[in-house]
Amino acid sequence: MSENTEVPNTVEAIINRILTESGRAARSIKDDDHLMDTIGLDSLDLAVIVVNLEQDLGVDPFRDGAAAVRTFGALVTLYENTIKEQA
Amino acid sequence: MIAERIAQLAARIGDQTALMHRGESWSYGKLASEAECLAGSLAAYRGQRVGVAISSASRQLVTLAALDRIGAIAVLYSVSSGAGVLDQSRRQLKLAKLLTDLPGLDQGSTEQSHSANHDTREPGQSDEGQIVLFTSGTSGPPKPALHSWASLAAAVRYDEHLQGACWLLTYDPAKFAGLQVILQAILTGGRIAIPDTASPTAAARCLAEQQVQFASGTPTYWRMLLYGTSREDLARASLEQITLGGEPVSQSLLDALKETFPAARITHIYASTEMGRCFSVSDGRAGFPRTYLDDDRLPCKLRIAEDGQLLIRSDQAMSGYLGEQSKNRGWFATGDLVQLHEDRVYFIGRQSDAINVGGNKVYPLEVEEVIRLVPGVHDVRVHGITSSMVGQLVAAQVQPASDVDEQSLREQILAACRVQLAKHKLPAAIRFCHRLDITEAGKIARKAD
Repeated sequence: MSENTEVPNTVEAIINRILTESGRAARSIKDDDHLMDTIGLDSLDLAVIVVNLEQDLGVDPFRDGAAAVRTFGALVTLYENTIKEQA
Repeated sequence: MIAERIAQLAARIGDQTALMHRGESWSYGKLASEAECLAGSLAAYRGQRVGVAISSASRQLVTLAALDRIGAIAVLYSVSSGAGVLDQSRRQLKLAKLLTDLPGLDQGSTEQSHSANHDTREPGQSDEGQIVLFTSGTSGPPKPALHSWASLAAAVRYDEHLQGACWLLTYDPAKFAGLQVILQAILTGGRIAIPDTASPTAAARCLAEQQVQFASGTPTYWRMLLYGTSREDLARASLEQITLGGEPVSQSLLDALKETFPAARITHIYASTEMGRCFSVSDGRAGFPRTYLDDDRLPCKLRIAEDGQLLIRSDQAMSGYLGEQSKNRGWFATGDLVQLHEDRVYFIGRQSDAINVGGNKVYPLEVEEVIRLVPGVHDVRVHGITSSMVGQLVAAQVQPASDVDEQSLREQILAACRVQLAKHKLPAAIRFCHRLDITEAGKIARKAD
């Protein structure tokens, strides 16, 4: 288990920011929460989240064609892996 | 034409100031004598293409008059083009000579034989003075548009009362808009005032000190002036006529100008380097009357294409792009998108400005107008950013008022946008800057980041 919570915290914070800025409520997010079905994000929301994550984390895993992910946990893992690869 | 007119005015009002810049004043007499003198030394270039890249507006004018006098084709460059671009262009266009005060540029002829005196005028072109102007290159590289002085001066309003009137020049004197102001002022015996620098306070100072009556600029320039100055700065100005051009004008800007300068008449003009001046609107409303589409009295004909683009056919148009054979007498696709609404035709933006968000097109102007109205926002530039997921997303570069909390302004901007705009038009990223990206032509920069 990774002790580093920077990436998960950042991803959760950005998701909540996008939620509140679009008039929705912030929430606590768990690893197996489904991005679309549980959290209620659509593809436009995800695109905005990815752009904001790039500003904070410096990477965009989808630029090189990463496959879409379904859950919060998978999204975090994708970012952690991409950061490691590009380090 | 222009050389002749300056000579006429020099004979009548030789002592009157024609141009004022940084304390330096040029009278009509001085313009005329310098132009004659220069014409004498350039006589060998009759019928040939001579480049002009001169940083001082007065010296540029003298040079253009001299070239007009000898019947050469003036190819006018903005000094901001830079030596590299100039060098490349002079070779491409086969200039016989380049007159410039820019350092590092060889003025000599690029032709092998200096004694060659071949006439490079387009076949069928008359002897009248010709000039090549470059388009502002907002959506593509600048193109050389060939005009005659007659077509360039077609929109000049002649009136005895204009003699001695003061005109503010805010535009680049080497571009179409700048030349329109210069021609309007000089051909009517007026006086051109140029602010010391591009800053709003310098403009306000110039308006007051020179008692400018006629001022012309882009909407972006006017917004900068309004937000970069105080009431006191502008209180001593006594403008009679405000003109806007080069970008679509919003109702909110027209209203703000009316409030700040209640005595001034406000006009916005639709023109392009290629088409010349097409029409003007002075009714205080954005867009233009629907009736213009059927009006035979206008110097140009207007039509809306299937794709929403404005098409124009004009008698004051350029002869064509330099080097291209086709005469420009057909319908010109302006690249500007318009929308009919009741009795009005509104500008949506340039086709090339469209931000493609997952297949949905968004035009920056619409989003800018919403954001501008949020208290605490001085000005804003909306542009596209790349998105790996949906192609492009909308982004906003915001110039905040001073002392504003950026986080809460961000929230207010998004809240305002949410109420008025469809979801895909909402800015995905908001950046705060003290200065917006503005092109050399004084317009909001539109190329996507």
